[in-house]
Amino acid sequence: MMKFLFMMIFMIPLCFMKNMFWLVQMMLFFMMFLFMNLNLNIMCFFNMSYMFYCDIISFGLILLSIWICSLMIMASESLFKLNFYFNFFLFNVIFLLIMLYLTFSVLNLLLFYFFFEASLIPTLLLIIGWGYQPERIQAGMYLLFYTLFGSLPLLMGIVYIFNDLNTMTIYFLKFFNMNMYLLYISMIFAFLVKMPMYFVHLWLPKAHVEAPVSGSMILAGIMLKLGGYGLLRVMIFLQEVNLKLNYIWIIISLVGGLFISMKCFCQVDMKSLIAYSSVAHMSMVIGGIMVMNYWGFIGSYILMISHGLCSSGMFCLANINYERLHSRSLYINSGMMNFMPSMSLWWFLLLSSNMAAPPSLNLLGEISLINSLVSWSNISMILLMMISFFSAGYSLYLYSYIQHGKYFQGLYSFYVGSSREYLLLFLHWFPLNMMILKVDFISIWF
Amino acid sequence: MAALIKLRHMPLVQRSVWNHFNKVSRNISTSKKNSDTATTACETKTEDKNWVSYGFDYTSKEEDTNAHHATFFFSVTLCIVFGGVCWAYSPDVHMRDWAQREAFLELRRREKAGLPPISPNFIDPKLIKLPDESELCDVEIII
Repeated sequence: MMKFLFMMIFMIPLCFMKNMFWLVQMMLFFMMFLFMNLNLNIMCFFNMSYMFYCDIISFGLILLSIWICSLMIMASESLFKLNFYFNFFLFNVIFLLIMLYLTFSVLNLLLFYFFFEASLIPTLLLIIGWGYQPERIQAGMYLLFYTLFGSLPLLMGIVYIFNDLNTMTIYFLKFFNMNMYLLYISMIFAFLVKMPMYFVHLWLPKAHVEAPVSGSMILAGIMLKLGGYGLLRVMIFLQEVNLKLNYIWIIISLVGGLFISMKCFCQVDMKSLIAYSSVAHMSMVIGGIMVMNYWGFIGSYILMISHGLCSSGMFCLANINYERLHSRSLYINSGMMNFMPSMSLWWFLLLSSNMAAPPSLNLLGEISLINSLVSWSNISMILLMMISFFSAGYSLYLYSYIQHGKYFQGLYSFYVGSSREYLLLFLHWFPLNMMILKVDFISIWF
Repeated sequence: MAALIKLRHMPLVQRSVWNHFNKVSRNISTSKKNSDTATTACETKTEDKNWVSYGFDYTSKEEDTNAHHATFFFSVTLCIVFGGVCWAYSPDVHMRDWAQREAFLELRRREKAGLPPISPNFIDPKLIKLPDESELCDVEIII
Protein backbone atom coordinates (compact mmCIF):
# COMPACT_ATOMS: atom_id res chain seq x y z
CA MET A 1 0.00 0.00 0.00
CA MET A 2 2.93 2.25 0.62
CA LYS A 3 3.87 1.76 -2.99
CA PHE A 4 0.71 3.49 -4.15
CA LEU A 5 1.15 6.22 -1.58
CA PHE A 6 4.68 6.86 -2.79
CA MET A 7 3.56 6.80 -6.40
CA MET A 8 1.07 9.55 -5.61
CA ILE A 9 3.56 11.59 -3.59
CA PHE A 10 6.08 11.48 -6.40
CA MET A 11 3.46 12.60 -8.88
CA ILE A 12 3.36 15.95 -7.09
CA PRO A 13 6.57 17.35 -8.64
CA LEU A 14 5.29 16.03 -11.95
CA CYS A 15 2.28 18.36 -11.66
CA PHE A 16 4.50 21.42 -11.72
CA MET A 17 6.52 20.49 -14.76
CA LYS A 18 5.67 21.90 -18.10
CA ASN A 19 3.18 20.12 -20.37
CA MET A 20 2.55 17.29 -17.97
CA PHE A 21 -1.20 17.65 -17.74
CA TRP A 22 -2.09 14.51 -19.63
CA LEU A 23 0.80 12.56 -18.19
CA VAL A 24 -0.56 12.96 -14.67
CA GLN A 25 -3.93 11.66 -15.79
CA MET A 26 -2.32 8.68 -17.44
CA MET A 27 -0.22 7.93 -14.37
CA LEU A 28 -3.41 7.85 -12.35
CA PHE A 29 -4.99 5.41 -14.80
CA PHE A 30 -1.88 3.28 -14.57
CA MET A 31 -2.08 3.35 -10.80
CA MET A 32 -5.69 2.28 -11.04
CA PHE A 33 -4.68 -0.65 -13.22
CA LEU A 34 -2.00 -1.69 -10.77
CA PHE A 35 -4.22 -1.30 -7.74
CA MET A 36 -7.14 -3.23 -9.13
CA ASN A 37 -5.05 -6.15 -10.27
CA LEU A 38 -2.50 -6.53 -7.54
CA ASN A 39 -5.08 -6.98 -4.84
CA LEU A 40 -7.10 -9.99 -5.88
CA ASN A 41 -7.75 -13.12 -3.82
CA ILE A 42 -8.02 -11.42 -0.51
CA MET A 43 -9.96 -12.86 2.37
CA CYS A 44 -10.37 -10.18 4.96
CA PHE A 45 -7.41 -7.87 5.48
CA PHE A 46 -4.48 -7.53 3.20
CA ASN A 47 -1.37 -5.48 2.76
CA MET A 48 -0.99 -4.86 6.44
CA SER A 49 1.92 -2.61 7.11
CA TYR A 50 2.67 -0.21 9.91
CA MET A 51 -0.55 1.73 9.87
CA PHE A 52 -2.21 0.82 6.59
CA TYR A 53 -4.46 -1.99 5.66
CA CYS A 54 -7.16 -2.66 3.19
CA ASP A 55 -10.27 -4.71 3.42
CA ILE A 56 -13.02 -5.01 0.92
CA ILE A 57 -14.84 -1.82 1.86
CA SER A 58 -11.63 0.16 1.55
CA PHE A 59 -10.72 -1.61 -1.66
CA GLY A 60 -13.82 -0.58 -3.55
CA LEU A 61 -13.76 2.99 -2.31
CA ILE A 62 -10.06 3.47 -3.07
CA LEU A 63 -10.68 2.13 -6.56
CA LEU A 64 -13.53 4.57 -6.94
CA SER A 65 -11.45 7.51 -5.73
CA ILE A 66 -8.52 6.80 -8.06
CA TRP A 67 -10.89 6.35 -10.99
CA ILE A 68 -12.84 9.55 -10.27
CA CYS A 69 -9.64 11.57 -9.74
CA SER A 70 -8.24 10.52 -13.10
CA LEU A 71 -11.57 11.33 -14.74
CA MET A 72 -11.56 14.71 -12.98
CA ILE A 73 -8.37 15.62 -14.79
CA MET A 74 -9.80 14.45 -18.08
CA ALA A 75 -12.91 16.56 -17.54
CA SER A 76 -10.96 19.71 -16.73
CA GLU A 77 -9.22 20.10 -20.04
CA SER A 78 -10.60 23.63 -20.34
CA LEU A 79 -8.32 24.69 -17.47
CA PHE A 80 -5.36 23.47 -19.46
CA LYS A 81 -6.55 25.17 -22.62
CA LEU A 82 -7.10 28.49 -20.89
CA ASN A 83 -3.91 28.07 -18.88
CA PHE A 84 -5.71 28.84 -15.65
CA TYR A 85 -3.37 27.64 -12.90
CA PHE A 86 -3.61 24.05 -14.03
CA ASN A 87 -0.41 23.19 -12.14
CA PHE A 88 -2.01 24.02 -8.84
CA PHE A 89 -5.15 22.28 -9.96
CA LEU A 90 -3.22 19.07 -10.59
CA PHE A 91 -1.51 19.44 -7.25
CA ASN A 92 -4.89 19.87 -5.62
CA VAL A 93 -6.25 16.74 -7.27
CA ILE A 94 -3.23 14.62 -6.31
CA PHE A 95 -3.27 15.97 -2.77
CA LEU A 96 -6.96 15.21 -2.47
CA LEU A 97 -6.37 11.72 -3.81
CA ILE A 98 -3.62 11.15 -1.26
CA MET A 99 -5.90 12.29 1.56
CA LEU A 100 -8.76 10.10 0.35
CA TYR A 101 -6.50 7.12 -0.17
CA LEU A 102 -5.16 7.50 3.35
CA THR A 103 -8.62 7.97 4.79
CA PHE A 104 -9.73 4.66 3.41
CA SER A 105 -6.61 2.74 4.21
CA VAL A 106 -5.47 3.67 7.72
CA LEU A 107 -5.94 1.37 10.67
CA ASN A 108 -6.16 4.04 13.31
CA LEU A 109 -9.45 5.82 14.05
CA LEU A 110 -7.75 9.10 14.90
CA LEU A 111 -5.75 9.03 11.67
CA PHE A 112 -8.96 8.28 9.82
CA TYR A 113 -10.47 11.41 11.39
CA PHE A 114 -7.37 13.43 10.52
CA PHE A 115 -7.45 12.50 6.85
CA PHE A 116 -11.25 12.79 6.76
CA GLU A 117 -10.90 16.44 7.75
CA ALA A 118 -7.81 17.01 5.66
CA SER A 119 -9.65 16.03 2.50
CA LEU A 120 -11.91 19.05 3.04
CA ILE A 121 -9.10 21.52 2.39
CA PRO A 122 -8.30 20.64 -1.22
CA THR A 123 -12.04 20.41 -1.87
CA LEU A 124 -12.51 23.92 -0.52
CA LEU A 125 -9.61 25.15 -2.63
CA LEU A 126 -11.12 23.52 -5.69
CA ILE A 127 -14.49 25.15 -5.13
CA ILE A 128 -13.19 28.60 -4.35
CA GLY A 129 -10.27 28.56 -6.77
CA TRP A 130 -11.86 27.19 -9.90
CA GLY A 131 -15.57 27.65 -9.40
CA TYR A 132 -17.61 29.76 -11.74
CA GLN A 133 -19.81 32.14 -9.80
CA PRO A 134 -19.31 34.54 -6.87
CA GLU A 135 -21.70 32.39 -4.84
CA ARG A 136 -18.93 29.87 -4.46
CA ILE A 137 -17.54 31.69 -1.44
CA GLN A 138 -20.74 31.11 0.45
CA ALA A 139 -20.84 27.55 -0.83
CA GLY A 140 -17.34 26.91 0.47
CA MET A 141 -18.27 28.31 3.87
CA TYR A 142 -21.37 26.15 4.04
CA LEU A 143 -19.37 23.04 3.14
CA LEU A 144 -16.63 23.78 5.62
CA PHE A 145 -18.73 24.78 8.57
CA TYR A 146 -21.42 22.14 8.21
CA THR A 147 -18.76 19.44 8.16
CA LEU A 148 -16.71 20.93 10.97
CA PHE A 149 -19.79 21.43 13.11
CA GLY A 150 -20.49 17.72 12.88
CA SER A 151 -16.97 16.49 13.24
CA LEU A 152 -15.81 18.18 16.43
CA PRO A 153 -18.00 15.85 18.54
CA LEU A 154 -16.50 13.00 16.48
CA LEU A 155 -13.02 14.02 17.58
CA MET A 156 -14.13 14.16 21.19
CA GLY A 157 -15.74 10.74 20.82
CA ILE A 158 -12.55 9.27 19.39
CA VAL A 159 -10.45 10.67 22.20
CA TYR A 160 -12.95 9.28 24.71
CA ILE A 161 -12.72 5.86 23.07
CA PHE A 162 -8.97 5.97 23.34
CA ASN A 163 -9.21 6.96 26.97
CA ASP A 164 -11.57 4.12 27.67
CA LEU A 165 -10.26 1.28 25.53
CA ASN A 166 -6.60 2.24 25.05
CA THR A 167 -6.84 1.23 21.42
CA MET A 168 -7.70 3.09 18.26
CA THR A 169 -7.32 0.23 15.82
CA ILE A 170 -10.52 -0.08 13.87
CA TYR A 171 -10.18 -3.82 13.62
CA PHE A 172 -10.08 -4.28 17.38
CA LEU A 173 -13.07 -2.11 18.11
CA LYS A 174 -15.50 -4.84 17.21
CA PHE A 175 -14.73 -6.61 20.45
CA PHE A 176 -16.11 -3.74 22.46
CA ASN A 177 -19.56 -2.40 23.02
CA MET A 178 -19.89 1.25 23.92
CA ASN A 179 -23.27 1.63 25.40
CA MET A 180 -23.58 5.40 25.76
CA TYR A 181 -26.08 7.64 24.00
CA LEU A 182 -23.90 10.74 23.99
CA LEU A 183 -20.98 8.86 22.47
CA TYR A 184 -23.28 7.39 19.84
CA ILE A 185 -24.71 10.74 18.77
CA SER A 186 -21.32 12.44 18.73
CA MET A 187 -19.75 9.67 16.68
CA ILE A 188 -22.38 9.36 14.00
CA PHE A 189 -23.43 12.97 13.65
CA ALA A 190 -20.37 13.88 11.61
CA PHE A 191 -21.07 11.11 9.15
CA LEU A 192 -24.73 11.98 8.92
CA VAL A 193 -23.80 15.56 8.03
CA LYS A 194 -21.38 14.27 5.45
CA MET A 195 -23.74 11.79 3.84
CA PRO A 196 -25.93 14.03 4.01
CA MET A 197 -29.05 13.32 5.95
CA TYR A 198 -32.10 15.44 5.29
CA PHE A 199 -31.98 18.17 7.96
CA VAL A 200 -28.27 18.81 7.59
CA HIS A 201 -28.14 18.52 3.82
CA LEU A 202 -28.12 22.21 2.96
CA TRP A 203 -24.41 22.37 2.17
CA LEU A 204 -24.73 19.85 -0.62
CA PRO A 205 -26.80 21.73 -3.21
CA LYS A 206 -24.67 24.80 -2.67
CA ALA A 207 -21.31 23.09 -2.81
CA HIS A 208 -22.14 20.80 -5.72
CA VAL A 209 -23.57 23.56 -7.84
CA GLU A 210 -20.88 26.15 -7.22
CA ALA A 211 -17.99 23.76 -7.61
CA PRO A 212 -16.23 23.35 -10.93
CA VAL A 213 -16.83 20.09 -12.72
CA SER A 214 -13.89 18.41 -11.01
CA GLY A 215 -15.07 19.58 -7.61
CA SER A 216 -18.61 18.35 -8.28
CA MET A 217 -17.28 15.01 -9.46
CA ILE A 218 -15.18 14.42 -6.41
CA LEU A 219 -17.86 15.68 -4.04
CA ALA A 220 -20.57 13.49 -5.51
CA GLY A 221 -18.23 10.65 -6.22
CA ILE A 222 -16.30 10.17 -3.05
CA MET A 223 -16.77 12.78 -0.37
CA LEU A 224 -20.31 11.71 0.34
CA LYS A 225 -19.10 8.14 0.64
CA LEU A 226 -16.64 9.16 3.35
CA GLY A 227 -19.68 9.54 5.55
CA GLY A 228 -20.97 6.13 4.57
CA TYR A 229 -17.59 4.54 5.12
CA GLY A 230 -17.30 6.15 8.53
CA LEU A 231 -20.76 4.91 9.48
CA LEU A 232 -19.88 1.38 8.37
CA ARG A 233 -16.73 1.42 10.50
CA VAL A 234 -18.16 3.07 13.57
CA MET A 235 -21.41 1.10 13.71
CA ILE A 236 -19.50 -1.98 14.79
CA PHE A 237 -19.09 -0.95 18.36
CA LEU A 238 -22.27 1.11 18.60
CA GLN A 239 -24.68 -1.62 17.62
CA GLU A 240 -26.61 -1.83 20.85
CA VAL A 241 -27.44 1.84 21.08
CA ASN A 242 -28.11 1.91 17.37
CA LEU A 243 -30.80 -0.71 17.66
CA LYS A 244 -32.60 1.53 20.10
CA LEU A 245 -32.19 4.79 18.23
CA ASN A 246 -31.91 3.95 14.57
CA TYR A 247 -35.53 4.63 13.82
CA ILE A 248 -34.88 8.37 14.20
CA TRP A 249 -32.26 8.47 11.50
CA ILE A 250 -34.11 6.09 9.20
CA ILE A 251 -37.35 8.06 9.37
CA ILE A 252 -35.62 11.40 8.92
CA SER A 253 -33.62 10.19 5.96
CA LEU A 254 -36.46 8.32 4.23
CA VAL A 255 -39.05 11.05 4.63
CA GLY A 256 -36.41 13.63 3.83
CA GLY A 257 -35.45 11.67 0.75
CA LEU A 258 -39.06 11.77 -0.32
CA PHE A 259 -39.25 15.55 0.11
CA ILE A 260 -35.97 16.04 -1.69
CA SER A 261 -37.07 13.85 -4.59
CA MET A 262 -40.17 15.98 -4.94
CA LYS A 263 -38.06 19.11 -4.73
CA CYS A 264 -36.01 17.85 -7.69
CA PHE A 265 -38.96 18.55 -9.92
CA CYS A 266 -38.83 22.22 -8.96
CA GLN A 267 -35.23 22.84 -9.95
CA VAL A 268 -34.26 25.06 -12.85
CA ASP A 269 -30.57 24.40 -12.53
CA MET A 270 -29.30 21.11 -13.98
CA LYS A 271 -26.57 20.69 -11.42
CA SER A 272 -28.94 21.51 -8.61
CA LEU A 273 -31.26 18.74 -9.77
CA ILE A 274 -28.41 16.25 -9.84
CA ALA A 275 -27.25 17.42 -6.39
CA TYR A 276 -30.69 16.93 -4.88
CA SER A 277 -30.90 13.50 -6.46
CA SER A 278 -27.64 12.67 -4.68
CA VAL A 279 -29.31 13.52 -1.37
CA ALA A 280 -32.23 11.25 -2.21
CA HIS A 281 -29.93 8.32 -3.02
CA MET A 282 -27.84 8.88 0.06
CA SER A 283 -30.97 8.91 2.18
CA MET A 284 -31.56 5.32 1.17
CA VAL A 285 -27.94 4.49 1.95
CA ILE A 286 -28.31 5.90 5.47
CA GLY A 287 -31.48 3.87 5.91
CA GLY A 288 -29.69 0.73 4.78
CA ILE A 289 -26.79 1.16 7.18
CA MET A 290 -28.95 2.06 10.13
CA VAL A 291 -31.19 -1.00 9.97
CA MET A 292 -28.17 -3.20 10.73
CA ASN A 293 -29.11 -5.93 8.25
CA TYR A 294 -26.54 -7.75 6.22
CA TRP A 295 -28.44 -6.86 3.06
CA GLY A 296 -28.68 -3.30 4.25
CA PHE A 297 -24.91 -3.02 4.55
CA ILE A 298 -24.36 -4.62 1.17
CA GLY A 299 -27.02 -2.57 -0.56
CA SER A 300 -25.73 0.66 0.88
CA TYR A 301 -22.15 -0.15 -0.10
CA ILE A 302 -23.08 -1.07 -3.66
CA LEU A 303 -25.30 1.98 -3.94
CA MET A 304 -22.42 4.14 -2.71
CA ILE A 305 -20.10 2.85 -5.42
CA SER A 306 -22.66 3.02 -8.19
CA HIS A 307 -23.94 6.42 -7.15
CA GLY A 308 -20.37 7.71 -7.16
CA LEU A 309 -19.98 6.72 -10.79
CA CYS A 310 -23.44 7.75 -11.88
CA SER A 311 -23.60 11.19 -10.23
CA SER A 312 -20.09 12.00 -11.30
CA GLY A 313 -21.01 11.12 -14.88
CA MET A 314 -24.10 13.30 -14.74
CA PHE A 315 -22.07 16.25 -13.49
CA CYS A 316 -19.71 15.70 -16.42
CA LEU A 317 -22.67 15.81 -18.77
CA ALA A 318 -23.96 18.99 -17.17
CA ASN A 319 -20.52 20.53 -17.57
CA ILE A 320 -20.33 19.49 -21.22
CA ASN A 321 -23.48 21.48 -21.78
CA TYR A 322 -22.25 24.31 -19.57
CA GLU A 323 -18.99 24.67 -21.51
CA ARG A 324 -20.95 25.24 -24.69
CA LEU A 325 -23.83 27.39 -23.48
CA HIS A 326 -22.39 28.94 -20.30
CA SER A 327 -25.64 28.30 -18.55
CA ARG A 328 -26.93 25.50 -16.37
CA SER A 329 -30.52 26.51 -16.74
CA LEU A 330 -32.85 23.78 -17.95
CA TYR A 331 -34.67 26.20 -20.22
CA ILE A 332 -31.56 27.24 -22.11
CA ASN A 333 -30.29 23.68 -22.30
CA SER A 334 -33.40 22.23 -23.91
CA GLY A 335 -33.53 20.42 -27.23
CA MET A 336 -29.93 19.27 -27.10
CA MET A 337 -30.73 16.28 -29.25
CA ASN A 338 -30.81 18.65 -32.18
CA PHE A 339 -27.16 19.55 -31.63
CA MET A 340 -25.51 16.58 -30.01
CA PRO A 341 -27.54 13.45 -30.71
CA SER A 342 -24.61 11.26 -29.71
CA MET A 343 -24.49 12.93 -26.35
CA SER A 344 -28.13 12.08 -25.78
CA LEU A 345 -27.06 8.43 -25.72
CA TRP A 346 -24.87 9.17 -22.73
CA TRP A 347 -27.54 11.30 -21.07
CA PHE A 348 -29.88 8.36 -21.46
CA LEU A 349 -27.45 5.71 -20.20
CA LEU A 350 -26.39 7.65 -17.13
CA LEU A 351 -29.87 8.88 -16.24
CA SER A 352 -31.34 5.42 -16.66
CA SER A 353 -28.68 4.13 -14.29
CA ASN A 354 -29.60 6.94 -11.91
CA MET A 355 -33.17 5.71 -11.75
CA ALA A 356 -31.85 2.20 -11.10
CA ALA A 357 -32.81 0.68 -14.39
CA PRO A 358 -31.27 -2.71 -15.11
CA PRO A 359 -28.51 -3.68 -15.65
CA SER A 360 -26.86 -1.02 -13.57
CA LEU A 361 -25.24 -1.44 -10.20
CA ASN A 362 -27.75 1.05 -8.75
CA LEU A 363 -30.42 -1.56 -9.37
CA LEU A 364 -28.62 -4.13 -7.27
CA GLY A 365 -28.05 -1.64 -4.50
CA GLU A 366 -31.61 -0.43 -4.47
CA ILE A 367 -33.07 -3.93 -4.53
CA SER A 368 -30.92 -4.94 -1.57
CA LEU A 369 -31.83 -1.74 0.26
CA ILE A 370 -35.53 -2.13 -0.42
CA ASN A 371 -35.38 -5.68 0.86
CA SER A 372 -33.55 -4.71 4.01
CA LEU A 373 -35.67 -1.67 4.80
CA VAL A 374 -38.92 -3.52 4.23
CA SER A 375 -37.72 -6.34 6.45
CA TRP A 376 -37.11 -3.77 9.15
CA SER A 377 -40.59 -2.32 8.87
CA ASN A 378 -43.40 -2.83 6.38
CA ILE A 379 -44.41 0.83 6.46
CA SER A 380 -41.13 1.89 4.89
CA MET A 381 -42.48 0.24 1.74
CA ILE A 382 -44.60 3.32 1.10
CA LEU A 383 -41.68 5.71 1.50
CA LEU A 384 -39.35 3.57 -0.60
CA MET A 385 -41.92 3.21 -3.30
CA MET A 386 -42.35 6.98 -3.47
CA ILE A 387 -38.60 7.62 -3.46
CA SER A 388 -37.96 5.12 -6.26
CA PHE A 389 -40.89 6.42 -8.25
CA PHE A 390 -39.87 10.04 -7.95
CA SER A 391 -36.24 9.24 -8.73
CA ALA A 392 -37.40 7.66 -11.97
CA GLY A 393 -39.61 10.70 -12.47
CA TYR A 394 -36.98 13.38 -12.13
CA SER A 395 -34.41 11.40 -14.12
CA LEU A 396 -36.86 11.15 -17.00
CA TYR A 397 -37.84 14.79 -16.52
CA LEU A 398 -34.23 15.89 -16.76
CA TYR A 399 -33.57 13.75 -19.81
CA SER A 400 -36.68 14.77 -21.62
CA TYR A 401 -36.33 18.48 -20.88
CA ILE A 402 -32.72 18.61 -21.93
CA GLN A 403 -32.86 16.43 -25.00
CA HIS A 404 -36.30 16.67 -26.52
CA GLY A 405 -38.22 19.60 -27.89
CA LYS A 406 -37.14 22.79 -29.54
CA TYR A 407 -33.81 24.28 -28.71
CA PHE A 408 -33.44 27.67 -27.13
CA GLN A 409 -33.66 30.28 -29.89
CA GLY A 410 -30.97 32.43 -28.36
CA LEU A 411 -28.15 30.06 -29.28
CA TYR A 412 -25.64 31.41 -31.72
CA SER A 413 -23.04 28.74 -32.23
CA PHE A 414 -22.41 25.24 -31.08
CA TYR A 415 -19.91 22.45 -31.41
CA VAL A 416 -20.44 18.73 -31.13
CA GLY A 417 -18.94 16.54 -28.46
CA SER A 418 -15.24 15.81 -28.68
CA SER A 419 -13.73 12.36 -28.41
CA ARG A 420 -12.36 13.14 -24.96
CA GLU A 421 -15.84 13.90 -23.67
CA TYR A 422 -17.26 10.67 -25.01
CA LEU A 423 -14.39 8.74 -23.47
CA LEU A 424 -15.02 10.47 -20.16
CA LEU A 425 -18.65 9.42 -20.18
CA PHE A 426 -17.85 5.93 -21.38
CA LEU A 427 -15.43 5.47 -18.51
CA HIS A 428 -18.18 6.49 -16.10
CA TRP A 429 -20.81 4.27 -17.64
CA PHE A 430 -18.81 1.15 -18.35
CA PRO A 431 -17.97 0.15 -14.75
CA LEU A 432 -21.46 1.12 -13.71
CA ASN A 433 -23.23 -1.21 -16.08
CA MET A 434 -20.63 -3.91 -16.47
CA MET A 435 -19.61 -4.44 -12.87
CA ILE A 436 -22.93 -6.05 -12.21
CA LEU A 437 -21.56 -9.06 -14.04
CA LYS A 438 -18.86 -9.52 -11.42
CA VAL A 439 -20.00 -7.83 -8.27
CA ASP A 440 -17.96 -10.26 -6.17
CA PHE A 441 -15.08 -7.89 -5.98
CA ILE A 442 -16.91 -5.21 -4.14
CA SER A 443 -20.05 -6.63 -2.69
CA ILE A 444 -20.00 -9.38 -0.14
CA TRP A 445 -17.56 -9.45 2.66
CA PHE A 446 -17.24 -11.55 5.75
CA MET B 1 0.35 -3.52 -36.86
CA ALA B 2 -1.61 -0.35 -37.27
CA ALA B 3 1.38 1.59 -36.02
CA LEU B 4 3.59 -0.03 -38.64
CA ILE B 5 1.23 0.97 -41.42
CA LYS B 6 0.94 4.49 -40.07
CA LEU B 7 4.70 4.89 -40.42
CA ARG B 8 3.98 6.07 -43.94
CA HIS B 9 3.16 9.50 -42.48
CA MET B 10 6.62 9.93 -40.99
CA PRO B 11 8.57 12.70 -42.73
CA LEU B 12 11.66 10.49 -42.98
CA VAL B 13 9.75 7.81 -44.85
CA GLN B 14 8.13 10.36 -47.11
CA ARG B 15 11.44 12.03 -47.92
CA SER B 16 13.17 8.76 -48.73
CA VAL B 17 10.29 7.66 -50.94
CA TRP B 18 10.32 11.03 -52.73
CA ASN B 19 14.07 10.88 -53.26
CA HIS B 20 13.84 7.35 -54.57
CA PHE B 21 11.16 8.17 -57.10
CA ASN B 22 13.03 11.25 -58.22
CA LYS B 23 16.15 9.20 -58.85
CA VAL B 24 14.20 6.53 -60.70
CA SER B 25 12.29 8.87 -62.97
CA ARG B 26 14.84 11.55 -63.80
CA ASN B 27 13.97 13.83 -66.70
CA ILE B 28 15.15 17.11 -68.16
CA SER B 29 12.61 19.73 -68.93
CA THR B 30 12.62 23.50 -69.16
CA SER B 31 8.96 24.34 -68.93
CA LYS B 32 7.10 24.24 -65.70
CA LYS B 33 4.97 21.19 -65.60
CA ASN B 34 2.15 20.08 -63.33
CA SER B 35 4.16 17.07 -62.21
CA ASP B 36 6.79 19.34 -60.65
CA THR B 37 4.67 20.12 -57.64
CA ALA B 38 5.54 18.16 -54.50
CA THR B 39 2.33 16.38 -53.74
CA THR B 40 3.43 14.57 -50.62
CA ALA B 41 4.47 17.78 -48.88
CA CYS B 42 1.19 19.49 -49.78
CA GLU B 43 -0.85 16.65 -48.37
CA THR B 44 0.38 17.25 -44.84
CA LYS B 45 -0.25 20.98 -45.10
CA THR B 46 -3.89 20.62 -46.17
CA GLU B 47 -4.32 17.95 -43.53
CA ASP B 48 -3.05 20.29 -40.88
CA LYS B 49 -5.29 23.17 -41.90
CA ASN B 50 -8.70 21.91 -40.89
CA TRP B 51 -7.94 19.11 -38.51
CA VAL B 52 -10.55 18.19 -35.94
CA SER B 53 -9.18 17.86 -32.47
CA TYR B 54 -9.80 14.83 -30.33
CA GLY B 55 -10.47 17.25 -27.50
CA PHE B 56 -7.13 17.00 -25.71
CA ASP B 57 -5.24 19.85 -27.27
CA TYR B 58 -6.66 22.39 -29.67
CA THR B 59 -3.37 24.00 -30.74
CA SER B 60 -0.99 21.24 -31.71
CA LYS B 61 -2.16 18.24 -33.71
CA GLU B 62 0.75 16.08 -32.62
CA GLU B 63 0.19 16.64 -28.93
CA ASP B 64 -3.50 16.04 -29.38
CA THR B 65 -2.96 12.76 -31.17
CA ASN B 66 -0.35 11.65 -28.65
CA ALA B 67 -2.60 12.44 -25.74
CA HIS B 68 -5.50 10.68 -27.44
CA HIS B 69 -3.55 7.50 -28.09
CA ALA B 70 -2.04 7.44 -24.64
CA THR B 71 -5.26 8.19 -22.79
CA PHE B 72 -7.21 5.54 -24.64
CA PHE B 73 -4.44 3.02 -24.12
CA PHE B 74 -4.11 3.58 -20.40
CA SER B 75 -7.79 3.86 -19.65
CA VAL B 76 -9.48 1.49 -22.07
CA THR B 77 -6.81 -1.05 -23.00
CA LEU B 78 -5.15 -1.30 -19.63
CA CYS B 79 -7.84 -0.66 -17.06
CA ILE B 80 -10.93 -1.88 -18.83
CA VAL B 81 -9.73 -4.63 -21.16
CA PHE B 82 -6.78 -6.11 -19.27
CA GLY B 83 -8.26 -5.27 -15.89
CA GLY B 84 -11.58 -6.72 -16.93
CA VAL B 85 -9.92 -9.93 -18.11
CA CYS B 86 -8.05 -10.23 -14.82
CA TRP B 87 -11.20 -9.62 -12.84
CA ALA B 88 -13.28 -12.00 -14.91
CA TYR B 89 -10.81 -14.84 -14.83
CA SER B 90 -9.15 -14.44 -11.47
CA PRO B 91 -9.47 -17.65 -9.50
CA ASP B 92 -11.41 -17.86 -6.28
CA VAL B 93 -12.04 -14.25 -5.44
CA HIS B 94 -12.01 -13.62 -1.69
CA MET B 95 -11.57 -17.38 -1.17
CA ARG B 96 -15.28 -18.01 -1.52
CA ASP B 97 -15.03 -21.22 -3.49
CA TRP B 98 -12.52 -22.52 -0.96
CA ALA B 99 -14.88 -21.60 1.88
CA GLN B 100 -17.78 -23.39 0.20
CA ARG B 101 -15.68 -26.50 -0.39
CA GLU B 102 -14.56 -26.52 3.22
CA ALA B 103 -18.13 -26.14 4.36
CA PHE B 104 -19.29 -29.08 2.27
CA LEU B 105 -16.39 -31.23 3.48
CA GLU B 106 -17.20 -30.41 7.06
CA LEU B 107 -20.87 -31.15 6.56
CA ARG B 108 -20.02 -34.50 4.96
CA ARG B 109 -17.69 -35.34 7.81
CA ARG B 110 -20.34 -34.53 10.38
CA GLU B 111 -23.00 -36.48 8.50
CA LYS B 112 -20.75 -39.55 8.39
CA ALA B 113 -20.04 -39.22 12.08
CA GLY B 114 -23.75 -38.95 12.82
CA LEU B 115 -23.53 -35.47 14.28
CA PRO B 116 -26.04 -32.70 13.54
CA PRO B 117 -24.84 -30.15 10.98
CA ILE B 118 -24.09 -27.70 13.76
CA SER B 119 -24.09 -28.43 17.44
CA PRO B 120 -26.49 -26.46 19.67
CA ASN B 121 -23.57 -25.68 21.98
CA PHE B 122 -21.35 -24.18 19.29
CA ILE B 123 -20.38 -21.55 21.82
CA ASP B 124 -19.65 -22.91 25.26
CA PRO B 125 -22.74 -22.08 27.38
CA LYS B 126 -20.53 -21.17 30.30
CA LEU B 127 -19.15 -18.23 28.31
CA ILE B 128 -22.57 -16.74 27.59
CA LYS B 129 -23.70 -14.21 30.17
CA LEU B 130 -27.43 -13.68 30.04
CA PRO B 131 -29.09 -10.78 31.87
CA ASP B 132 -31.19 -11.44 34.95
CA GLU B 133 -34.95 -11.92 34.85
CA SER B 134 -35.39 -8.57 36.61
CA GLU B 135 -33.74 -6.70 33.75
CA LEU B 136 -35.84 -8.50 31.19
CA CYS B 137 -39.34 -7.80 32.42
CA ASP B 138 -39.98 -4.78 30.17
CA VAL B 139 -38.22 -6.01 27.07
CA GLU B 140 -40.38 -7.01 24.12
CA ILE B 141 -39.81 -10.52 22.79
CA ILE B 142 -39.63 -10.57 19.00
CA ILE B 143 -39.42 -13.88 17.22
